[in-house]
Amino acid sequence: MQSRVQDVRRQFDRDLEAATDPVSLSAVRLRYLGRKAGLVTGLLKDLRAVPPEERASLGQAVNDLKTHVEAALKAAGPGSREDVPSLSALELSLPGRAQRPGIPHPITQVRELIEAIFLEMGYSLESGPEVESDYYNFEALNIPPHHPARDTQDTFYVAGGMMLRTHTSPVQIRTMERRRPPLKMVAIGKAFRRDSDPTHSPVFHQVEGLVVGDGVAFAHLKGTLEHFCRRVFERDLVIRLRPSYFPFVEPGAEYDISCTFCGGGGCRPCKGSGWIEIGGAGMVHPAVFDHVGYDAERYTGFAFGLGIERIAMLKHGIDDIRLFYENDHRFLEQFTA
Amino acid sequence: MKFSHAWLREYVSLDEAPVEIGRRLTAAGLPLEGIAQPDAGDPDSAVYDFDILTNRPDCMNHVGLAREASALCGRPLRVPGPRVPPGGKATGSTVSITIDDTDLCRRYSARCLLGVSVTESPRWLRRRLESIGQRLINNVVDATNFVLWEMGHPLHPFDFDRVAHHRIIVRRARPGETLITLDGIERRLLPDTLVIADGRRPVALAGIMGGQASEIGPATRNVLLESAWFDPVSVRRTSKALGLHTDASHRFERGADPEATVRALDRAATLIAELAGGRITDPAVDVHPNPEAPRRVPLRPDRARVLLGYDPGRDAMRSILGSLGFHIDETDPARWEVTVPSYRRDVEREVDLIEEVARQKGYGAIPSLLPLLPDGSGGRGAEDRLAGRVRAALLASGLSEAINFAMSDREELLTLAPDISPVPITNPLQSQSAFLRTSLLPGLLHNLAHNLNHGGVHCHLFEIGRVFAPEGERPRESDRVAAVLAGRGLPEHWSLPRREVDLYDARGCVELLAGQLGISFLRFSSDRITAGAPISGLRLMAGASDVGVVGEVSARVLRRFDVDGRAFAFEIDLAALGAASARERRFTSLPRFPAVRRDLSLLASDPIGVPAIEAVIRAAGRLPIAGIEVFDRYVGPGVPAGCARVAIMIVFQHPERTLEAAEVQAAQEAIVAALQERLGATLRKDL
Repeated sequence: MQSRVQDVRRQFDRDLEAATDPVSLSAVRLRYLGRKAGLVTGLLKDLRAVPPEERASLGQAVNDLKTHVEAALKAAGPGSREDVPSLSALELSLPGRAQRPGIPHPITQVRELIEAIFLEMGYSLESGPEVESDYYNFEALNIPPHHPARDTQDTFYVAGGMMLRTHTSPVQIRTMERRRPPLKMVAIGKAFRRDSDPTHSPVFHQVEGLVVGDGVAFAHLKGTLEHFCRRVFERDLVIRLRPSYFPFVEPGAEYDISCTFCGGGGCRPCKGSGWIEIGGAGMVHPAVFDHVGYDAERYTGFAFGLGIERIAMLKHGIDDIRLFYENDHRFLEQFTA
Repeated sequence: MKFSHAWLREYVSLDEAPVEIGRRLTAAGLPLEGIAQPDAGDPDSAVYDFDILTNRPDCMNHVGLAREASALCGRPLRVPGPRVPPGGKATGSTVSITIDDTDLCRRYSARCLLGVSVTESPRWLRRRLESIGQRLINNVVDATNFVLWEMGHPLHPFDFDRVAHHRIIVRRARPGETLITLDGIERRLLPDTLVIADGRRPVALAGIMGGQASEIGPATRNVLLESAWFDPVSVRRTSKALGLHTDASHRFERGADPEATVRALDRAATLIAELAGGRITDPAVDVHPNPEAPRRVPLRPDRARVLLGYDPGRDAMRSILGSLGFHIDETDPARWEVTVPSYRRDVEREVDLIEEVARQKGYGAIPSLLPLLPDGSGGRGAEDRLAGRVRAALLASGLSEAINFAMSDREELLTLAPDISPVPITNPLQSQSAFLRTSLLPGLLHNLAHNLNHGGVHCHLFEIGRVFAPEGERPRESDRVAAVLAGRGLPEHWSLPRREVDLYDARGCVELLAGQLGISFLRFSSDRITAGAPISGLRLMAGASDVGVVGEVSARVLRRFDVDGRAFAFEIDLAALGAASARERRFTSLPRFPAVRRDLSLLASDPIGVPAIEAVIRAAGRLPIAGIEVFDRYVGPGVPAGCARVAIMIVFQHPERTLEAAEVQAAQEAIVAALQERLGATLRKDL
């Protein structure tokens, strides 16, 4: 029987070589592996009649033959090298085949860009809870109860006097409580305000930055914002700081960039002013240092904030903030990373 | 807030064009929102709209803004100094004034005007008030409004004959008291409300609005003019509680100038006497039990350099602070003693003085530097890194990223997470987002419905975000990853047959995720999902604990979100994934001896239970097994009901030697026997 196995194998190799098209290939398959009359199938059936002492080695030989036949047929079958049509038979203008990756949300893309800029400057990334206490969201930031500044931060409350944080600034407090100067941190996350229109979403994403140490000055804030804005918008723009008021900084500022659309000449997006508002900033108020137990005489620091949606809208020319939260594939697919 | 260019010019010479004035004030922290100039050839017709921030109530009037302009332009400020003609009837003998609650009313000044005739205001006054959009009432009320917009102090005129017993008592409201305010609305007064009462009842809400009963009208003959200082917090509380915001409350709650009461009173009284006739009672009543000493703040000129990063210079500091009304005592040259004018209640500390200097000089003067400061901790936290790895794995499997609100609808949350009672928001914007989400799936299912309703043929979305569970005083926050897949399967290509997504797409994403995170012990357990669950499929287990679910979204849930067809989903706890994730990868030596592959075709009961088959094979195998893979499954014609035909590949490989054919054959036979004995699976003989 051992010789029969050898014969079948030789015969198969010849037949396979002769079969050049799919039809003759399937005939070969039937001749050797057919359920009723297949030659290899027959060998397997006949094994039962072999005395037990020979069965092991013979069985091995038949099994090897079967593996060989299957593998050879598979290699010759569709998808194998011989089956690939020649270039002249192809419609070359049809699109190619690829596993397409998904698309990170445009907010994530801007977030990662901003994270990278600050990580390169040696900042740490910090985070905090989205549900905050009055202390972290307001009081420790020098906004006592009944302060009129609370009017501008329409707040969502949950039971027990807790609230959805109206900004990412509470992370400043949490980080300063945990660490001592010098520190350079950025926190990026969701913030919440009761406000909804094409440029305001009740849920939005904010970047919060804080630098505290010996000899940190307003000039450093300006340089940092300038470097950051140039990197984010990938152009050599000009930055402008204007005095403004946020209770947790003094002096306080709002910062603008020269219009990325008209370069400063005045156009619709900048309302003819040549400037586009980006965010708020300032030197950390001594009252904030008092709350976290930092020596306000020894240490100085600056803080800044901005909205991620606003940056994404400016970078991509998106005109309605609500688009970010519909998660429409037609929207997302415009932002292939 | 509107300001007239012509009106500002009453107090400071402004030769510059209105646009230039607007630019300079903006650069000094008084941002211009817009300018309207009805007559292009006449700058005096210009009306500014400034956004005066909450810390600068002193600039919410023309004199205040003119002071800023005078400091910026270096020209003197001309403040009107009213002269009340002396010698009338004494105010004190006409009206009696008592402050019961001196904590909420620090000062109350008053005069009467006897024998006025209430008519229309003259043209000049009408023009002034109309130019900034103020409503005209009558000459008496218009005069008080004029003083409010001129020097910022809110005043209130009463019809003196309607003030019972000619008595004024400043006190907290008593239980059950009500007042009909000037707008005709009857207000129920809360116990902490500060009111102005006459001999009988409240006649005005202190610092907010007067009462209708004592309103100035054509019949008014005698006027009581109030000029007081009310506590900001008290005014703000009442104004918020009643939903009543007025020009007066806007200023009192931001802090009025307690030193201005008499000056404003005299200015209004002389104006009313001029417009409406009447004799001014004199001297004024001025109840001021605890006058405040002027605030003194130290200023180290060198500290300005430290904080700003450049030296503005002593001369500049001296002249800026001086022109804004601050008085400097330079006895100690290193530590000035600065007296703060009473209208600048926002200036409390040294940094506030430094800001005055910086903003008046302009932030443009500040140089631009980068801090050289080490931060020892640096970099990303573990949670952040994990989220990044999860995102990368799911993007690689073809899912796109969604971001949804943290708030959701209660019923929808309970549909997806029936066991957790979501935390309510006490003042939601809309009912669809009135509860903190307990699952990411409602948001993703809304995204699915949106995509299908807008012509999408598929939806492959994931989200990484936070969920909230009730716990003590602060909800417990945890991060999750979830996905929803529906419609056409990926990849799509013209050469491939179209297919709909199924469970294996969702499961595949989870497997890829686990693989990328190096998680070896994430198990899929099919035995714990109860019938009727929102997601029916497999529980994900890390060790003995549930970490998530992957499966098909039930038809009941899909109906709720208006989705036709089928959808598949998973949701996994991120912290659990992180805990299970491999810290570091260990290298295993590459095999030096060949592997032997054996394929088995089995007829087994269905479902087959791949983990059980693998366990039996490994236990019975005798030889080291490098891999087991089920590579085909068939149910249908030719296979008995309740059974499946399953093809399994087994790879034997010994780390130290080449395997002999005979021992592989023996191992295979032992495996077949064990599968038969333990699982009732039989080897198919009919290949």
